[in-house]
Amino acid sequence: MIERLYRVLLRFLPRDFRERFGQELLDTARAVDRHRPRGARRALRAVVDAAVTPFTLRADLRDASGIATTRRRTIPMESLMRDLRFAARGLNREPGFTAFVCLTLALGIGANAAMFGIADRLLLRGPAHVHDADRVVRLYSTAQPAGMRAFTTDGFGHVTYDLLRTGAQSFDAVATYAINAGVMGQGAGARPIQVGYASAGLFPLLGVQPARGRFFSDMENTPAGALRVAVIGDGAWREWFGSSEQALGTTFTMNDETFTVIGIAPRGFTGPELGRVDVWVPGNILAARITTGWATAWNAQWLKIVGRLKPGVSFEQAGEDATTVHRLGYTGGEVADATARLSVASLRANESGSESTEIRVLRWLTGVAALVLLIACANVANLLLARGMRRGREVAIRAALGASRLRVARLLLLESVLFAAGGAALGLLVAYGVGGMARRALFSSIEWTSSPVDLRVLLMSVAFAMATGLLIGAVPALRATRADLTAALKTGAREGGGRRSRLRAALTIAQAAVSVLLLIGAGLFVKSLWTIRSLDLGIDPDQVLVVEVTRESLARIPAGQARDAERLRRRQFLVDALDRVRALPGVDQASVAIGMPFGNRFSVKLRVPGLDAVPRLRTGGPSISAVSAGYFDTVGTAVRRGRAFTTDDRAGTEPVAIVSELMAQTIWPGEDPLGKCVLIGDGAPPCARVIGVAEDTRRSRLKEEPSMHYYIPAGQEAGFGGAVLLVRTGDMDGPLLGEIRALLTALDGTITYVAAETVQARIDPQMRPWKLGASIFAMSGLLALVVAAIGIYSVISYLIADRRHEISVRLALGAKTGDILRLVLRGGLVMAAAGVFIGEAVAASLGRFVEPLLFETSPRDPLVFAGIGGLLLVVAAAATLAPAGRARRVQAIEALKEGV
Amino acid sequence: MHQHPDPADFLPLPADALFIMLALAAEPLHGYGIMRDVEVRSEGKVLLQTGALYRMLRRLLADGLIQECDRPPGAASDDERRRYYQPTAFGREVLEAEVARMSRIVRAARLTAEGKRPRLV
Repeated sequence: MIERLYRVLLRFLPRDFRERFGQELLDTARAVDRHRPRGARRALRAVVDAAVTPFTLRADLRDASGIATTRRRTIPMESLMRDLRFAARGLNREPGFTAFVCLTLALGIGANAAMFGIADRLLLRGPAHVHDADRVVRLYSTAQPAGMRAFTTDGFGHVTYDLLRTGAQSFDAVATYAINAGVMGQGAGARPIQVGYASAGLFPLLGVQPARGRFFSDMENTPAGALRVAVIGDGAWREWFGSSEQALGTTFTMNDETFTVIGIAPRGFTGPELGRVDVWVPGNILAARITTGWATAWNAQWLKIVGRLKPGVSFEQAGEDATTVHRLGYTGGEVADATARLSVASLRANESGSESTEIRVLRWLTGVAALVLLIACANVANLLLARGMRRGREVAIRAALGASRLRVARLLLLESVLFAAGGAALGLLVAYGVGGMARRALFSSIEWTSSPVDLRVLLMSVAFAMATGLLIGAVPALRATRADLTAALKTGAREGGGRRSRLRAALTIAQAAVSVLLLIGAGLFVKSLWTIRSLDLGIDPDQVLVVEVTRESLARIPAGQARDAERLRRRQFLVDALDRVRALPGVDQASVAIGMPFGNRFSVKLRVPGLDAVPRLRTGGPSISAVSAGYFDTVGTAVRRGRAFTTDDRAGTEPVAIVSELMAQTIWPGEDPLGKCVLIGDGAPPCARVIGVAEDTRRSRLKEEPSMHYYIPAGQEAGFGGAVLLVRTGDMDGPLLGEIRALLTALDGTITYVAAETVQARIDPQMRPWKLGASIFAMSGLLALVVAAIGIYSVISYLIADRRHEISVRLALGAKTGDILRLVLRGGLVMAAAGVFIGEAVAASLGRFVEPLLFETSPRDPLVFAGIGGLLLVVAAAATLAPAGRARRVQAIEALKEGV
Repeated sequence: MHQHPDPADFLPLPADALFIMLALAAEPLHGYGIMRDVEVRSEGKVLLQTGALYRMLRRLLADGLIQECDRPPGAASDDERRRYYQPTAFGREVLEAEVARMSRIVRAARLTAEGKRPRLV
């Protein structure tokens, strides 16, 4: 071990020395390794020796000679080491104080290190294994349909890819990919996975090398037909193949097809996005499943396109180039698409080309973490100032004995750097915990492969610690250089109220202000969250389970009558199974739906007799879903007028429809919608009679403008499909899900996988920004509050200790204990009130920045502002009263003893 | 540079240097040999570390107090590469001067401890 240590050391030594002594030095170190007893103490001495030698040796060499000259002067490094030892001894003398300071700083430094660890991946380095990620862009298309909002998407058809690949000059390479859910394996062992469908050019474009085997080629991904070859992700390789070298060449079943493993992606590779991808397969496998004419279709858009910009090409130039190529090459019939504008954005952008929620959240987290560090610094600086007062005389004596002021200042700076170093060491633990928690809770969609504390985080923490050390040490050190010797040396000298306590009060007020700021943030987010929870969505999301089944491919059955019969059976299967599902214990109601809130959304051609066109709202035309009897009871949507569907409404019976309230008011304003006729679908459909009006529901977002919707009985739908089973239950945690799975697979042998989640689970991602905001601000706000309370406590304590004399004189002159208490309490509350005032003023002026993040909550919500202000004052009063008790014990007699 | 050096220029010797010189004055030694000898000679009080040792050897060599020498005939030939060091003639002068200086200090200290007043003879 010692030999290795010195091997590292040699690299830092001057070359001449290394050439002359290097080999010898290592031989000796090896001998030490072999012969000398080991132990922590010895190892430590060796480490210190190795760390110090480069400096001392250089100092020797600067003096150009040996003992004769170096004896004559003090090497600065040695005195630095001496000061460092002295500082360390000082801290060791006050373990409680040291521990408190280090802990405070650990919270600040740790929070920042944790945030850096996340920012590093999301903002700085981009997806793992992507070479020069700044030059890789994703393409977006913005269309402006008449009368509607402009719409930006990253979904493209294969045609656009072909156009760009052959026509666009701005890119070195263009590639496509799509990441979809899939099912791995069959039967009981089946599990959901993420499948990446890619063009062969994706891997060379990103610049990634396979860990084993190879990626697929264009020959394996021809438009005529793609081979079933797969590159599996590192995680999948470990979990399914036990990291076996024999995995290459083996086969596995995915989405009911057999694939051959040809390669293994490097650890951490997630393609152009950050989420886990289990398997990469040729993209045309997916294309063939979308539609038969996919290679030339303009209306099928399932691909994302990425490109690597040529050197020197800007994002704007690339966007214009792509737009030109698209408009020249577009042959589809949609005006909006023909005039669409193409643009490029960094891989960090989300599906509509703007900053993703993760990154917005991250910005807030980073800001909040920085504030926490600032509070911690203010608090520690405050404590150091207070302590500096106690040590004022020691410093003055050192100065009087001839230590230069610079030297004294350096000693104080060294102390604070030591504090910060201790804080950083503890902070790494905090970073590990907080970073791990943040990854799990806030950034769970991202595949994290490195530890929350890696080398870069470590280095960053060291930087944070150095900066912190200098920041907290600066004030006491500057003060020391200006210290008034004679005043400090006088016996009985007391702090004269003056500048020092004003500075400390200012620091305390600043802490209070920042904690008010953070707590108001927390309050606003909590209020938003509360508003969201009490929203009437028109459904009961937490009581409804959405069950989806995956089946064996229909392609196994020869085309013709047998296949048609099977297709029909599958369409009818869920409706037929409803009675069996309802019979399961714990099931309140069950139904089948094709299209549902926070699920699939369909729209078909709709005409209303008597109207030239169905009125369109800003949110577009009405959407449709086909539902079985019992649907409205299952999801909790009220039927306001008329009746709900019954089992007698089905394929072949009279076409009927139930419309939403908004749709009824929009299409038949002031009229009774019941009995009206709507024509649903292409061609000449029969009249569907409106039999009911249902309450409005949110269709896909918590924050959306109301849209028109109507329902038809399951079985009467044409042109759309994809049924899900909806189950209403009061007991989500029970064994129900397992029983549903068992029932469905027993009823139908072709079912390969049954997936289920609550509607709430589909809404949760949308609530995440508010949940996040609430938890981040609440956590850091409480932390800040504690730190601020400690700040007030310590300032008041010192104030009392300092004014003991004054208090005893006042008592001697006849003041009552109550007067004294009031005096002290007023001091604390004035600071707190100032903090509240400043904090709320800042919060109010920052309001417009948080407003877009809040949900129907004013950024100046009076309830939140008043509540937080009150909270801080109460805490401040408590923090003041604790030391105030000490003031009460001051005796008048002290004034006489001490002399005036 | 070291043509007419005065041994007094080098006094007092740092403790590490003194112990290394004492070790080498007894017999030529290599690096690890010096470490071991110094440990024994100082009754375990001076534990030279590898980096500090070579830093000091470089200084002593630069000042011409020690020099490299052949492997002594009696030494175990466990490694051909090892370099051995011995004091130069000037180095011995410096060492003697240092030991003389320290003896004076020790004598003075003893007299003081016995309550006697030193006299110039």
